[in-house]
Amino acid sequence: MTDAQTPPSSGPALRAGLALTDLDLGQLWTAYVGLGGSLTAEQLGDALASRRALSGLEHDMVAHALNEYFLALGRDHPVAYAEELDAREPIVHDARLP
Amino acid sequence: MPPETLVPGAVATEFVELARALLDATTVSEVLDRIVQAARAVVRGADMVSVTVRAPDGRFHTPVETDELATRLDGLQYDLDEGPCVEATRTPGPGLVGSSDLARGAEFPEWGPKAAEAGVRSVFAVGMFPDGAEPRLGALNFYSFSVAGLDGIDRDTAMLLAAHASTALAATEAHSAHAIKAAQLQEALRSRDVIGQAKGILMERRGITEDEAFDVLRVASQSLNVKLALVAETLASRRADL
Repeated sequence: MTDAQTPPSSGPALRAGLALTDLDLGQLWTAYVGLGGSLTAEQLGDALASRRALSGLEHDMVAHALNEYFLALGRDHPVAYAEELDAREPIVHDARLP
Repeated sequence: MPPETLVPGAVATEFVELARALLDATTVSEVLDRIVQAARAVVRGADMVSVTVRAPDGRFHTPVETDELATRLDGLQYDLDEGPCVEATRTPGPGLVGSSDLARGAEFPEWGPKAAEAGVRSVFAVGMFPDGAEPRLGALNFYSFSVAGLDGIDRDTAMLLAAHASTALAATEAHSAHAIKAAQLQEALRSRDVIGQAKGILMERRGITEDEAFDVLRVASQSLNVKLALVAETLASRRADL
């Protein structure tokens, strides 16, 4: 995790992760705020739509909020963290915002 | 000359009292109970009143009634998939369905004669959310022991009641959704607070930044397969042991 902005694959990775859950953007935002995030729900929506670049920390908070959803289902952190973004392709390339 | 004091009629008074009662209703059950009590009072031709509710899985049930016989007749409709209750939930427009002589079996060939044997001779049901797309949430059902016992005024009054019920139920649902969101946000703020405490401890003990402290917690959560808030809570509660 760094303060530098994440690569363009951040938005698609998070968007794909959200598409695999039954969470809506508001629920993801609440979980993200619970981890200490400070973006507004609108800013989070912009980040998922790749209209806003996130810092490594912000990306990791969103990714972790999604991964905790998968953790409850017994799945092992499928959403890439910032340090993994360059090496991993997004889970679903054409996932769209709900 | 002082203004004349006008006295509203009995039906209008009942609706005013109903509106007041619905303002205090906070659950679906309370709303339906008050609607049924009012329905019994203002729909003069009705000897029995009940409410049909459609569950998310499509099945029907009767949560509120004025008479056990109404529940039995509702249940028979659900079993046969025939009758005014079920038709009102899936009929376009106002969702007003009924029969003025059930024994003839013209409108409801199976259910009608059986209802007549039980003593009910006329009936109508009106869908809740009258302007909504079918299938609707449910219906208000009105039974009479007389042939043609329910007239046009009864039907119009029932439509007004259904509109009141629909508005009150929509408000109740919105209230419930708001309460759930508020509880989730409250839990998120509690979690955020604990994580903040844990980050502070790590920053102090390890001389690291806030961002690095979050990363430590996040990696621990990932490695242990437990929620980050639990890692933080454990760390904060065992601060003296660290």
